[in-house]
Amino acid sequence: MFSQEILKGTIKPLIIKLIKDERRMYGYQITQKVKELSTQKIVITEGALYPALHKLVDEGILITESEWIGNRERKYYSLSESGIKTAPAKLEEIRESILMLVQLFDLKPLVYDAK
Amino acid sequence: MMLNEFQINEIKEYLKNCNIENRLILGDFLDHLCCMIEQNMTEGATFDDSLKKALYHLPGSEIKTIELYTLKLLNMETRFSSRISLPATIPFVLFGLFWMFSNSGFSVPGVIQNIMLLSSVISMFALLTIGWIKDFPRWSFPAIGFCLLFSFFSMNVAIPSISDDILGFWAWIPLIITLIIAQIFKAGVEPIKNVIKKTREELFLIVYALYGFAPFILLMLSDEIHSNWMMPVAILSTLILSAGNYLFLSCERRVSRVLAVIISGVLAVVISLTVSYLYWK
Repeated sequence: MFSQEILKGTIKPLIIKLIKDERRMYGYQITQKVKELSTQKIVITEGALYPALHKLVDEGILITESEWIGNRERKYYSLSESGIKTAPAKLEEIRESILMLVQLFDLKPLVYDAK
Repeated sequence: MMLNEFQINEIKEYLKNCNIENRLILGDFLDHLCCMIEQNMTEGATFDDSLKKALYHLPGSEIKTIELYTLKLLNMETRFSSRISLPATIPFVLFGLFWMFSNSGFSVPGVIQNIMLLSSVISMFALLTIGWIKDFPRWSFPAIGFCLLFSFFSMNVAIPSISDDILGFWAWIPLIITLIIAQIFKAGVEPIKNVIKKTREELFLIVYALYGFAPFILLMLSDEIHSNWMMPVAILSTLILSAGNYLFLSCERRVSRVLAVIISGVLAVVISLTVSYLYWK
């Protein structure tokens, strides 16, 4: 499992990417999706996930809609109009940062330079 | 497998007992814990075992820490350190000092009294400016209440040394100047949006904003009273009001915060009314 320190700056773009792909997601679903996609190597803690989600809502990138699931309310997060517009730029920024890190750490090009 | 109403209420009660106050955070974590429990139950565990396991991984204390961190991130803090809570009581203390010297029967020169009253009022307007610049953290709410009510109250006040007419709309000039200064530091209406957002989240903030006018109300209640008695009364009432303000900003539980403001406000007014009644009787 990777340390939270390494993942710190990537949580927001990661949330944006997942929600962009899935259209809408709820908190627990995001943690499970990340676990699944990273074959359990990346675990987003609740302490990192929810503050980031609320900050993204506050910044107007995400919007929420509530739905009753059985006897409880579930909050789904999805990209707002402005979030849809800004998401590609944010994801491009993180892609470029990762490519730069690959170069800086002198790692062998893997999937990163596929584009 | 879906949890039933009874089981969900048990988790909700647990979160409330852990003092999770923000409804958005409460909703998020209620669903999160329910999902964790349901997943365990799908694998064959009982509700009680699943609940224990879920709370072992995500205890209430951790959820409370996440709530506090999230609120801080969103500039919606409910609890402040003494470093912030204590200075926030300065305007209350300044009013108390003016009250103490103007009504206590001691001969304090009029100029000094005027300076003391002005500095008390200016401190509230300064607090409003700082609050605007910092997107109105809750410690600046008393300044909102004071500045609005003071301007409204002053509309019917005449300053004989200037004119015998009441101030009318001129009474709003200090507030307008304050807002212009605030705009220089932070343009736009974002701070007002934040006030609305915070008030929607906790309606009691309206009462807390009005609390800022309480020192001035106490002054009005003891108008024309000049007695040595007023010294201890002013000190006591000021201490009570300041303590109420301090506790509202520093208490962890919402119920303690609400009680601190209500009890201190009522107590200070009752003391002043009693003294006023006894004096005039």
